[in-house]
Amino acid sequence: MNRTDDHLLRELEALAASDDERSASPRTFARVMAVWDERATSVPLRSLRWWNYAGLAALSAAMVLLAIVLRPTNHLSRGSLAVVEALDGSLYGARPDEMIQPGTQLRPGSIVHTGSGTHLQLALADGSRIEARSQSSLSFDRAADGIRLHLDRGGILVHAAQRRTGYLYVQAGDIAVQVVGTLFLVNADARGSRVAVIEGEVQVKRGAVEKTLRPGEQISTSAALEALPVQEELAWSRRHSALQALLQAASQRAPDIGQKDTSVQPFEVLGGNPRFDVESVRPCADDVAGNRGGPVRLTPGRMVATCQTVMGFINAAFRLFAEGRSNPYSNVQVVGGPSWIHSERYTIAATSPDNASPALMQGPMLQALLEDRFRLKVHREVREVPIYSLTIAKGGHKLPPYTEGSCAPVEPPSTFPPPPRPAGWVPCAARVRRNGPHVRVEWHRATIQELTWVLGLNVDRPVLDRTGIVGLFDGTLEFTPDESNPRVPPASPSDVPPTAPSVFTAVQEQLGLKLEKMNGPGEFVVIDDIRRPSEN
Amino acid sequence: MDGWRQAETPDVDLVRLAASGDREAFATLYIRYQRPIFRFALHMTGSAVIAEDIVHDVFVAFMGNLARFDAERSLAAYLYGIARHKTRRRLHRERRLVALDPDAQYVDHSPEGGPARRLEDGDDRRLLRNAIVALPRRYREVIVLCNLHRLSYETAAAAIGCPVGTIRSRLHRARETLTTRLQQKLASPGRLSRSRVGFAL
Repeated sequence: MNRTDDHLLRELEALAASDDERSASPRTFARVMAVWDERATSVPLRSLRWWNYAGLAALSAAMVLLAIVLRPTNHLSRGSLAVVEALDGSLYGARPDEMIQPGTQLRPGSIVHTGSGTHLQLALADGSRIEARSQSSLSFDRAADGIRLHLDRGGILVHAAQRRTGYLYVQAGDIAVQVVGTLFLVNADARGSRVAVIEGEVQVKRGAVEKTLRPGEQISTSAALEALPVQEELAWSRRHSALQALLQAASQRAPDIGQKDTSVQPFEVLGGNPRFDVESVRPCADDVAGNRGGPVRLTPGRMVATCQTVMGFINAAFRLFAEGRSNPYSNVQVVGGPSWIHSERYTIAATSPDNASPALMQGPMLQALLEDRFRLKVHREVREVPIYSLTIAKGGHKLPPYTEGSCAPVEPPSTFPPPPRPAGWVPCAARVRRNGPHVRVEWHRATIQELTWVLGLNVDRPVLDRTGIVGLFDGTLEFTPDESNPRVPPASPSDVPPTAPSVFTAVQEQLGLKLEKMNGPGEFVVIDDIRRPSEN
Repeated sequence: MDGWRQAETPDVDLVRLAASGDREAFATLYIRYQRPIFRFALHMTGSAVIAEDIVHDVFVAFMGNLARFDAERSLAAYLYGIARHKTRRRLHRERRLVALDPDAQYVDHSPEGGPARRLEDGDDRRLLRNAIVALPRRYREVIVLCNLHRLSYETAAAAIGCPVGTIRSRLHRARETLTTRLQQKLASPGRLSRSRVGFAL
């Protein structure tokens, strides 16, 4: 390289460095995500077409009437979907410092989280009423012919108003409910979703399977959810007595319901396990597969997973997509099985007749395929395992709330060599590092679940969050590791004596939380039997 | 999924989650890659306004192809490939336009430019930007990817869709051309002509 080339390269490097921090504006991010939201909300509409749309003419008529039907009620401003009608406890928005007060208007895209011990009542723009129990997360969107409510976790009681056109849609996990003029309960947690009807009829849809529920009936997306009598499910509601009376009246009106023992309500798992239509399972040669495996290509109704280990398939089917939706925080452990499931790789190509979603194919449908072709037999267990229970200490927690702008999203280096980080760069992440004889954990923009997860990485048993704390937090924790922190690497030899307390004292003193040893529930999928598949 | 946890999640898993409808996973991918894509489009077109549009178009196109993304490919190379395609189309469509974006004013407007004049740092940089934008597209791409974005030859080859040897030879010629033009510019008074600098001027 001559001197001119060298000079040019230096100039180019200087130019690159001067542009390193340039990026697209937040407006572009908002535009991109608006497209995502638009596409996301259009999917359920497509899947609901068959319910009772008489045709495009009827849909057009519904669209014309939409403005009239969705006119704001007297206490809702234009553009709002709901108003906080009554609140007993704490209600948070998307940010932990966003405390929502009674009377607050909720617009499309609004997210609310009810705190521990909170009871919430919302009035929707179409006249419907929603009651939400504590520890519930809800969001709202506008649908083309009504309102769409998403229940991420918790429980709600929905009193859907009568309306001439359109529907109230409730989405919980992969289950969709479409209603008018009914009263029903929806519960959602990591294991799945459940719908129970008190009055009227409710149409529930999961994938291609549809079911109409009548009063007293309930349905679930997972056998892991226990069947509780509807009466028990209503216990948290402020209108508990009135709802009980409604249930009894409904059972008297409908003889087939009345004959049943109301303490054991009809309960079924909706849809069972949908199945692939066409499938091929072929072993991969070692020299082709290498150690990495190949791609997993997913299009609606088709999955081609190239050279994945059998354990990889089982993990996807029973953990990451077990309920037909992604669940990256799944604490389920898959145990048992022969050693070859960790090393032998297979290519699975499968087609679904119903254009099933990628999550449904990688979850319930893959479960069925593994059961058919690998003769996989599993059972689920909840075992008592040693855990740490994380609770709030006396005097309340001391977690500092997240400060907007206190950290930057973490981006992996997209250039080589990676550009230097600017001075004072703080990632929105949790970092655990040695600080002399101490361990320092630092986090920014973390939820209590994330903090729980990080604590679990540093102690000798899983940590279960039982604080009920909602929000995002910044903070630090410094402790001296001992035998309860076996995964912490040893410190380099130093003369500096440790001054920080143990992790238990540190959590209490520095965070206002408490880590207590106890036995708690651990979910397991146990492999009872599995065989190599026969040739196609 | 939550932001900081996703920061540790490999691209391939995020793509898989996004393909299953996970909004946050897609948002994380956007945050990871918007900056290099924006800078690529900016360096190729010379216009921040057009670069914003290209970032939008790239991620909307990616959104539509999430389920078909080949997990064996480098996501960076894949996105650069889309950005390259979108940039080419945009440049072709707007080849007759004159940008009004202040960021695009890379041309040396100094009336007394000449060999005796010592350019200030800012002017130097503007001169270099102009010279890059004025390069033929195939040379501009390799300079932008390999020198300004510091991509490896292999990743650049994957993004452009050509052999690594082609990247090496184009880069050699691109640097030669760039050096010659910069020397000419510094050696003689006057400005780069509009036709040489390209549409962005």
